[in-house]
Amino acid sequence: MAKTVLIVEDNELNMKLFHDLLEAHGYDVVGTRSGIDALDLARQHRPDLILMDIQLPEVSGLEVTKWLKDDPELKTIPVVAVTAFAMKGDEERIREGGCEAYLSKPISVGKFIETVRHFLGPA
Amino acid sequence: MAARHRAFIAPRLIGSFAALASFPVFVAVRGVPSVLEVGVFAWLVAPILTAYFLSRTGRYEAAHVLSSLALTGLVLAVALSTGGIASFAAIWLVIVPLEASLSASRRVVALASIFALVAAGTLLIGSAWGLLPPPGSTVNEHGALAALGVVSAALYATGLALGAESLARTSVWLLYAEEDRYRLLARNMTDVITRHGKNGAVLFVSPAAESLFGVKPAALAGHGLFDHVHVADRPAFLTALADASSHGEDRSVEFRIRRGDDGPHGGSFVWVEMRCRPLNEANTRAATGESEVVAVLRDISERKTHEQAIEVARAEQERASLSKSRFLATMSHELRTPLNAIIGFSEMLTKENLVVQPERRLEYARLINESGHHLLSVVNGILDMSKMETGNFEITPEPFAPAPVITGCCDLLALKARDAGVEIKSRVQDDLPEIVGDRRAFNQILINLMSNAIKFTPRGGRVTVSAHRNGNKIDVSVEDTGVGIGEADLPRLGEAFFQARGTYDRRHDGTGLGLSIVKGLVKLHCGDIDIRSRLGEGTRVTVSLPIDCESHKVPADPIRLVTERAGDLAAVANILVKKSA
Repeated sequence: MAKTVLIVEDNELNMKLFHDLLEAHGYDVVGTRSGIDALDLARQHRPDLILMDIQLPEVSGLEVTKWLKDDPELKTIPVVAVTAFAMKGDEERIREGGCEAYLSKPISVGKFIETVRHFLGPA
Repeated sequence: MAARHRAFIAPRLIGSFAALASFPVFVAVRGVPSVLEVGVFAWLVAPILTAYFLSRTGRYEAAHVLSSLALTGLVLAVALSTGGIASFAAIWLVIVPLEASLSASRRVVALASIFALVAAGTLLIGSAWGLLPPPGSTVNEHGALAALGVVSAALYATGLALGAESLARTSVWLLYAEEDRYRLLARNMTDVITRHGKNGAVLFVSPAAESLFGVKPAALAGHGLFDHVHVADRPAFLTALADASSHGEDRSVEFRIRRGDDGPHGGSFVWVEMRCRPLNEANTRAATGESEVVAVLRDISERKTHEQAIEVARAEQERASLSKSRFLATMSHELRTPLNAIIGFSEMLTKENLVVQPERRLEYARLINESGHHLLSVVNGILDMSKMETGNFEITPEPFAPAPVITGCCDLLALKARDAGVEIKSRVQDDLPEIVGDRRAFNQILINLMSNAIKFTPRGGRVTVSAHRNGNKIDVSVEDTGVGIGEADLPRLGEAFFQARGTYDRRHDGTGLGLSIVKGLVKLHCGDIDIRSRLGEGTRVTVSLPIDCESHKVPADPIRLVTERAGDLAAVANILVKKSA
């Protein structure tokens, strides 16, 4: 059975990019542009990995990560932050916020897939 | 001190040299001198040695003791060989303590007296027990010698008395000079000197207080000074005085004093610094362990003003720096987001091991193009703002009818509004006059305002554009039924990249530059912008533009959009370029 990845990303084009990339590598993909929906989707689909944008409408990706890590059933799911916040100190702050890994935008496709494989193994 | 040394050395040198000089005369008159006489003359050189001792070591008391000892020894030697206590020389023993008195030291006088008494005792005992050689002179001779002894002793004593008098006069004169110097200092010093009793009450105030406090120094005595201290600073003032008084340590405190009389208006306050220290006189330190305190008060209002100015500048700098780094972070974010799609999709197209359907290839190319255009609009927005900030953005005023432009914008955004489920209404006055302005800029203002309104209005809402003449201006407003803006965020609205509600949980995409650009363009037209909003109810932005912008004076200073100080977009852009290089 294919591994499932939940993508939380509010930019339509970037969502499509990640979606198509993961799909092309044989992963199942669930996506949402809202941080609030992300929690419900995580409960519903039990994804093996979550890709989290940090700047989101309504509520920030860091906040959503905190909710996920506070939930005893969901906290084991690794969260990879994929964000355009790439100034000095951003990575540290995001990792401290509970994310297992950090990828800055613009991504390198190779690094992106490598990171996903690191957590999931080949699909 | 130097005067005392001089008074010690001078007579000794003169006396000794006189004695040495008289030696040849003595020899001529008396013939070959006896052993004793040679000894006496040799002994007279001793004062030169003590003077030399003083000038080398500076030990004044020791020199006096040596001098007394030498004199006593000489007198004793002469008297022992010329009849003991009855000798003409014995009278000179009186001179010994007298000379020592010039030293102004009890110790020296006591020692000298002991020397003299011991010598007198030795002579007495020697005479009484008949141990001494008989005086080898006749009665006549003895009488002459006794007269010589008394006269020379009297002369010497006179010299000593004159020396003592001149020494005393010198001391008094020095004392006066010193006092005059202090008086001059106190009168010309701007610092105020006060003396406080154990309870803190003022016992003395220096005359300088008048210019510092604006009242007579007498008015500050007792608790007068305390009454001039700012109420809020009184505890610190009292603590400093009490600490200095009871702990015996120096204290420094800064407080405000009221200048002028105690009136209904209170007078102005001046910052002063007070340094206080306990008075180091043994007798003021009572059994309670408290002492009087001397304090120096200095006007530090100028320094305080500088300190405050520096503090304000520092805070401003900090704010500007914070604003700049936030601007930089947001700009980086806004550029990276479309770049992610561009780089990501193009990499997918060029990866050989990734199988991409032909129809997808076409779609990716389209998405790359779309992102490129978005990136271009962000870059253009930044450039526009940069130009406006440096005053290089130029508008080309021309007469045009605003109504068709408004209709055009409504049409352009109709599709976007339909997608967002928002209705656009336009209420334009029928006989809206032509205006003179930059048509492209007017179009841009409307598009930015309307895009914002649509973006921030939930499905089912409405955006209304209205325009009407208002005197020699036209008012264009864009009103929505959207999310509104919190009161706290209103002042920052229009700051570049700023979207209300913090940075991370941004509700809506967009460059965050739209309103900043509108503000700049309106200002270039010498117009005004007014934003009214209520959270959850909607926002109305009204732009009023003069009908003829050329008749208004063009603003001379560049427009600041990012921050007041750190708005150097060119520098920011430079940093970005370096970072990515």
